[in-house]
Amino acid sequence: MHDAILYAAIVWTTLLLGAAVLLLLRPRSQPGRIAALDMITLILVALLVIFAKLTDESYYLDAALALALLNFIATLAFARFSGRGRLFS
Amino acid sequence: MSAVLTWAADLLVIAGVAVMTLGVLGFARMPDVYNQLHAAGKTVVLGLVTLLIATAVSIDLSGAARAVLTAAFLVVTAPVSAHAVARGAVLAREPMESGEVPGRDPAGGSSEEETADANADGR
Repeated sequence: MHDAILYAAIVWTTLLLGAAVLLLLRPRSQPGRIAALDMITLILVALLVIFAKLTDESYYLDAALALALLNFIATLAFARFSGRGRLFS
Repeated sequence: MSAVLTWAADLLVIAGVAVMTLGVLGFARMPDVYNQLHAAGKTVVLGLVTLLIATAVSIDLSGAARAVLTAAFLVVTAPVSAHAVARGAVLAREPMESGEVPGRDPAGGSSEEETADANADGR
């Protein structure tokens, strides 16, 4: 019973990930796509966190922290490139 | 008391996943980038922080420290990411839902006329 909730959460978060990828492919503006990429990575972090809780192994949280760090840097880089045409000026 | 803690953690997992669902739904329904950033930058991150608190409650101490660290990092850096994306959108002249482009025009044009009118009213 206690694991069933976590399995349901994993399945539902995977469906959310599919929905977020569809939102990325929807032809909207370029900054909208950067926001969608940010959201996709955060949903991946959520998947890792639920999995860490499911298996009681704490090294999945290390992977979640690293992915959150990379998401931050990548979003900043994409936004800077989208705004000014190049990264370092 | 560990049964209460287990049920509290499950409730927090359900709440976190529900808030993230609302974030994705909000992103899908918003018409322009500046509104989508509210959903993607705030709502999804807060759902994720709730999931991290749920994990920190029910895992051993070193894992809980890592979960709290990840939550603190997300709380600090998510507004910075959203601001960077919004600034990139303003610099790329991305229009809002009403059609107008935020940010002021580059040097010349209406800003000079406005200062000339203000000086005329002052005299």
